Amino acid sequence: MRRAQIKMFETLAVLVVFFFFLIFGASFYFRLQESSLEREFDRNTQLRAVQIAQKSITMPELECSFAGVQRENCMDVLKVQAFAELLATEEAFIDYFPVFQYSTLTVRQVYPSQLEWVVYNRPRGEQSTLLQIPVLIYDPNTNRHQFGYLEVRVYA
Amino acid sequence: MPKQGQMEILGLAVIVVLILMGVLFAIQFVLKAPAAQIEQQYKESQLAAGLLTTMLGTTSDCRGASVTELLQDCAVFKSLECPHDDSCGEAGYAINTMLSGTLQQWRRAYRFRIKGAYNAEQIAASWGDCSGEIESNTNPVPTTVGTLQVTLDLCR
Amino acid sequence: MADRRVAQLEVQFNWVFILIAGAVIIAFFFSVVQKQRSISDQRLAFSILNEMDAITTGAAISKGTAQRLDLPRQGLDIACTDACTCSISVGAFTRDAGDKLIFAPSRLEGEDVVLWSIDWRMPFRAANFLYATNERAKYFFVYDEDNAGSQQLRRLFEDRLPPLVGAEFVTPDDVDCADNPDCVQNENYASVKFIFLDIPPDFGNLQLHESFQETDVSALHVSQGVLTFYERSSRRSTSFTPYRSYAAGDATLFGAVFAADPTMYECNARKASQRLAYVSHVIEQRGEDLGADVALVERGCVYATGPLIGPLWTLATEQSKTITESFQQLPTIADQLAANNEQLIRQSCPTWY
Repeated sequence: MRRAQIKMFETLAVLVVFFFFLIFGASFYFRLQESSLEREFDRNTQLRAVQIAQKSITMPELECSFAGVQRENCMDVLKVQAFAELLATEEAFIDYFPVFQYSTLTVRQVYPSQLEWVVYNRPRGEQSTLLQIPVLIYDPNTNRHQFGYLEVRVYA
Repeated sequence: MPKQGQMEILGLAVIVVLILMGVLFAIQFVLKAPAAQIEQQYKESQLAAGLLTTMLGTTSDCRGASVTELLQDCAVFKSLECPHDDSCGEAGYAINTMLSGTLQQWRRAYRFRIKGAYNAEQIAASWGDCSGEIESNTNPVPTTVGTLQVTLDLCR
Repeated sequence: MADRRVAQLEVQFNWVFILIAGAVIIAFFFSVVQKQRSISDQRLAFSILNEMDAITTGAAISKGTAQRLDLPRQGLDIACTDACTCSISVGAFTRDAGDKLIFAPSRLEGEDVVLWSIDWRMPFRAANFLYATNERAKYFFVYDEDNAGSQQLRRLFEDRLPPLVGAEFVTPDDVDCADNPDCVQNENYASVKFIFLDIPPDFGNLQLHESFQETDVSALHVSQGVLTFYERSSRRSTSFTPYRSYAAGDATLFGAVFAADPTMYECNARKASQRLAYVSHVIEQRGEDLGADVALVERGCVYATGPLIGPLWTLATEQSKTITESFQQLPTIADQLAANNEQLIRQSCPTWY
């Protein structure tokens, strides 16, 4: 009887140790999964930021063109101002949400003088990814290309 | 009895092997280098090239000449009369302003240099520590005395 | 004797105990594996959708290029509802098409997908149209050699369609199997579209090859900016239901060819019109700013926003709500702006676009 009881306890002990290792392994695995998911979430936010930046610098609403030919990495300052005004209206703000989603788009001029235009602003939460793309800012009134950058802040 | 003992030792050995496999699996995850971030890749590959192209295309304050034209004049004739300086000085000022207003603001170390003509080679700019990895981009600027190599190094 | 019985009972109970414990452990692991498999499938589909989203965004920006890309094993489903919600699905997972204007068959399956993008210019670039197809989608362009309009359309499609698109140019005799035993047949295509170039299709007398019976077959008639879509109510049906719509420019003609159904075509045409309205508003505002510049006025640079941009904006706004016959007038209004733009170039004035 005692021997049987010892055997039973031995079996139980093995099971306890087994489940201990199982739970330890499982919690380790799930923690890895969690960090992997977080990394994937970050990656998706960055991918969205790149997409929004790509779209912004090639949009006909902002791009410089002459005789229908687009100049790369260039924004027309009059278009920037007009587009910013347009996006301040509720209808356009809603219609352009699929394009810009939760983000802030700012055009900043660095040379020869410092100026900035907030084109679109729809923030969400604190976490965000920031991208800056150098652009020429063309002024058709003076026929000058100023230097600046497009700042795209995409919210997670 | 000896057989039972052997069985028990075999069982222990199996457990040790399983634990070792688990530990190796865990080490693999811990030591694996994080995958390069998309945002970082986009920044590194586009930023140096984009900055350089945009800077060279910028219109300066000197008689509406672009930075490229200023460098061409600086390398060969130095005949352009700018409001405050000669073409070399004006180009240097413009480049420094643009780089300090972007890369320096973004806390990115950089090195800017020109090769190909003595006058133009005096135009240089740098900020931060450039002893680590470098993402470099060079734009050629043709002149009558040869091609200037304008290089921007982004340092990590 | 009693001890032996107890011993036997003990052994049996031990085995029962082992069986129960073993079953619990196996069941536990089985449920974990199933759960993980389901999560893994979801993650894969989500990841594929993200990749397709990024790829289609990039493709839409790379205008003029046709590229072949790998297709997910689960295939791609693209559809637009009557409320103009267009979506892309991979397996059970769906993502809104967002601002992308995609014209594609309702289902793309196979090894790869061909993405082709061109600008829609009215006369400035207003939007990028993205067309998706693959080797399992076939387009038969039916033309008449004696019809000038038909020949003109044929030349347009022959010149502009990329080689990667499964296009074939045939005559009405090639399609009608009544008198021609060598008529066109289905060669394992998942979807087939017959595009009649300025030839009204006579489905009452037209006899398609029997191999098309089990295929998704549709038709389109193109005639001077008027589009008539023909859809079958079921695969085995021989009757086609017509739906009339309109085109404005070559990009919309291509859209009609690649669109799965008239709903997809009109939803994208409406979205494009909305974009045109916004872009023309921005250009109008820019024109007003330029027109107010004294230096430009002295040089003789005139920006008549009212007569030139106003009608474009008005018509585009109207068509963004519903596509009507007036949609065909967009190119005419656009040409007036284009002519004025050329005038500004000759005067060395800043141009409209």
